[in-house]
Amino acid sequence: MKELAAGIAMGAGAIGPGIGIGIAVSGAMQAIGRNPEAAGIIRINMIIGVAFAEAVAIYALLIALLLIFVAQRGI
Amino acid sequence: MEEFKLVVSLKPEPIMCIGGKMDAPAVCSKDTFFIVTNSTIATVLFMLITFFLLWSGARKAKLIPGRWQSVVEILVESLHNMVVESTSKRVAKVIFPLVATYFTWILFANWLSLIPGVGSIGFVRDVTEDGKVLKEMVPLLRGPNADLNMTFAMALLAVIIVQIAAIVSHGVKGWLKEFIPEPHWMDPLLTPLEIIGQFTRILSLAFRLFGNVFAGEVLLAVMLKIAAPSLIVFLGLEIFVGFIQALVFAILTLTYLSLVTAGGHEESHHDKEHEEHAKAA
Repeated sequence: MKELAAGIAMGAGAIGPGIGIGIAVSGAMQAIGRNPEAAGIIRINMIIGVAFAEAVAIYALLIALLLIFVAQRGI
Repeated sequence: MEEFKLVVSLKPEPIMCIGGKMDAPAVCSKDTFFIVTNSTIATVLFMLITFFLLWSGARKAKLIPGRWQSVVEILVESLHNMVVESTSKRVAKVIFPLVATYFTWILFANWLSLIPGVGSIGFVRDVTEDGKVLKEMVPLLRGPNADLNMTFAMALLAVIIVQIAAIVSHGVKGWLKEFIPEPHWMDPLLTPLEIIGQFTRILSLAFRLFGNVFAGEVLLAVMLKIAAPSLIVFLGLEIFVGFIQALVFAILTLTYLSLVTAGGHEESHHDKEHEEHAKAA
């Protein structure tokens, strides 16, 4: 049961960040398309934005890891 | 090759209990003064390594820099530019050491904990679990940022320093006014939210860094077990993630500080004091 919970936690928790990262990178691509000179600074800001969105996925991964490796028997 | 069992330990394993005794399930007794875990040893060691690396690049600084001095200069100068862009030069004088230290320490701690041997070289000791006596392998070194204590301490310190910066810039009243945002009729709802938001910052900073580094370690261990040749790719990923997380932590701290010191009146007051002191000296 714990493994199932861990799988659901990680799976559901990756939907939001996946969409969020897609939106962020798409915005960055459009910005680079309009202004190729600013590609460097756009890339840096995109990486930072992606790191924030990814953090939420990492929170879900932490819950999954906690469930598998740390949760006591009988939960 | 012997089959090994993958053991993921969220908490760092204690190695020495100063002032107390270690009981069999590897937990220090209650009268322990200070618990030395493998993460503590790694923190001290990496601190010394980081300090020595950076200090050796800065001492005997020549006008035309050698190779390592150039690298250190690039690091310091780009961080300084980043801080000055977000705040003013006056504020940067005070804030830059903190932001630069956060970035440099987290970067070096993450990268040094990827060296083969950190997390894998250790000793075996007995552990009682559910009445049975098992043997567990305790690594001697563990990445400092894979320990929630370290990341939580850094996050707590960052948020406390932001509050102090707010008090220095705007006075205690100005600091308290920060928690009362614009639509004043919604105050009973927004003020508690703002206060909780400060605590959320601590948690998010701590867990973002801890999650990324710890999950990276678990990922490397799992990949070692199931698909060892792919490890070089995942090591590259971990190097990248370590750099990005250091950058994100430093940039977040910088953003919080710049939000809070924007338009500070106290800064000009301090500058006038400095001018008078310089004239008197």
